[in-house]
Amino acid sequence: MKIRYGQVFTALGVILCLSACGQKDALPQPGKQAAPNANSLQKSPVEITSKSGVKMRLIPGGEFLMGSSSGDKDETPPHRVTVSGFAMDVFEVTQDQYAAFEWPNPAHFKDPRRPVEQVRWSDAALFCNERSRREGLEPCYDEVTFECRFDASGYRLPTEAEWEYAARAGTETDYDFGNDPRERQSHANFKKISNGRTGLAGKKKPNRWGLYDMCGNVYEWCHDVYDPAYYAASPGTDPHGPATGEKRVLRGGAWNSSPVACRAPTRYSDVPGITDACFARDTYGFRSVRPLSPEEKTGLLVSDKMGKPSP
Amino acid sequence: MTSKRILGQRGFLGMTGHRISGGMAGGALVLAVILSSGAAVPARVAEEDAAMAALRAELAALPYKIVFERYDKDNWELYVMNADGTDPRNLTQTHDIHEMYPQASPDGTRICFLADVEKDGNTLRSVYYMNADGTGRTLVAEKSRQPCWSPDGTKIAFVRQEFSKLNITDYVSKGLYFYDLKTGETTEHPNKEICHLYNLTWSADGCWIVSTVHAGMGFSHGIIAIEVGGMGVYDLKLSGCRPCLSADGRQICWGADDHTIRIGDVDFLGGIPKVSNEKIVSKAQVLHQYHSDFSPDGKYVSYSIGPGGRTQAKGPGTHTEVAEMVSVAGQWNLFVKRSNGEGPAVQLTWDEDLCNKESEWLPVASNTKAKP
Repeated sequence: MKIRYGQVFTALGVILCLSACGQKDALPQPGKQAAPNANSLQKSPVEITSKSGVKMRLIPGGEFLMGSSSGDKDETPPHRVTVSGFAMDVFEVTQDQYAAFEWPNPAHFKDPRRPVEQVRWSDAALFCNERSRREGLEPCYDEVTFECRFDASGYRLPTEAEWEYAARAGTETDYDFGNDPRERQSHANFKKISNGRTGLAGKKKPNRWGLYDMCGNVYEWCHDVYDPAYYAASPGTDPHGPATGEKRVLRGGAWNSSPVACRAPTRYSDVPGITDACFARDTYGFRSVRPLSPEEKTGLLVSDKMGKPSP
Repeated sequence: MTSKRILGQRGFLGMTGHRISGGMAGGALVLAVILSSGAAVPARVAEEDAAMAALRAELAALPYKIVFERYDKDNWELYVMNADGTDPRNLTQTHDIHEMYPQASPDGTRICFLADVEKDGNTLRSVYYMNADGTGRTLVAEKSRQPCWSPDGTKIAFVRQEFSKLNITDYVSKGLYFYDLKTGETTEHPNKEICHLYNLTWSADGCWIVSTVHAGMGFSHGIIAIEVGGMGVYDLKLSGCRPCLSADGRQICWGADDHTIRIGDVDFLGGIPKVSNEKIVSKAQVLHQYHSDFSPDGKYVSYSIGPGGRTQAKGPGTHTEVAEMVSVAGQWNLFVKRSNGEGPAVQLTWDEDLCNKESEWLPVASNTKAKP
């Protein structure tokens, strides 16, 4: 009888899952292992291609230090947050992804390879729902109230905690590539070097977890309602933001931003544009996340334990 | 028609959230609430009462009617009423077709409009025109939208939808086309880069189409002037959308933001179109106002006021989107104000359960049936 390694890995994964005593995504936990300024997850997370052809990284759950004491007041207090594992788009959603859905391209800077911008928060949420439907997943957002079902299997906008966790990629510096200003130009499209427009998605270096343009290019809508004082009372596990509020969180800075706005902990916000028929902020885009499937959680564990490098 | 019928047979949810009903005083109070910064001043209400009555009398004497779209009983229809809001009549009366976005020909004999029909499980949106009395419906183009008349009434400009499947987002359009009523032929504008236009309006000299553009032709968002017979495209440098040119071609009104109707002088003669002397016609603090339209003599502007935001889909003819968009229903009503911005507004419709939008002034033609 021929034994397939994949079956062995899967079986090992199941055993490891069972032995994790109910902990969510118990391995690995980059933040806990992190020394200051260190990358705890030594390998990039596994990269997959979704059913609709979008590259994603399977981000293992873990704990990290969210916020900063060296930035604006709304970044304080720095606090430890645990997030469950999730899959995240490798790139900001591009204009050709919109075209593939026959969605109108709202972007000012037209190019199928550039990120879509001039996106209302609500349109970003609707895009996530449409993507879910096309992949046979449960849509997360109610399309009138925009309440989010976090237990649904489909796509949604990242929570602010998920976004910062992914942007930090196991580090505790302002930028995942460190605080050396000379590194910025190779990692980020920001005001000084953007020539007044968005850059091609993925043109700069990725962060340590293989995610591109987490720093600069377009601000990325997060799911959370913005509250400058939220960190003082935020839940320690999977925070979803305040229940109500006028603005939604934007992260990561844009092509017209200063480097400070592109820091991992920098928080920005704006009205979501739900009521605005003529929304035109050519600095606002997004990327999607979804929960890991049971198989993906297993695969993560096997991949890590077996010491297999990511594909 | 008495003012009692016009004003306040039903409640109206004003910007402060107070439900107001009743006769003239209630109506005046609503207007004061909408048009002021929030607190109604009794003395001003009394003053506006008389001014409103005077304006309403002026409107009643005008040789114009107003055609508009109304959502009622899961159906969009085109209605026509007197300029003071009296005697609304259903022009289309098609329970299985949604008619919207009426545009009156300059001589008042015809109306072009949009119609949505269900076909093979999809919504087919098309441009039609008809006589002003609702007879003689004629197809202009399928999968098209945003029609407007040439100043001589011989052509209809319109845009085609960008994708095969209908998307109600207003800017989802491609190209610019001209339908000749005499020949029935359609020609495309020579500039093949034209896209994402909405709310077209044709200049009095016939040489320019002014339109909103959103995320197209290198523009982020704005109001542009397009040469009808050439390749020129000029940014009018106006913040906002939904422009309307006056019949004499000298003025433009538009929605400067979700709450403000502005007016300005427009000059097409200098080679590069430009707008000057901007001023506010009407401003609401909380409610949205849009769809401004000049009366044929340029002395008045009609517009719609309603709640912003996405609305709950109520039936097959409405959608869940921003309420000011075509085919999206909300609690909207129609108003008229002097185009110089002076004096109060007169409310023309008072329907809490209906949606009244996209008003268009219609000159009263001696014969409402157009010449063949």
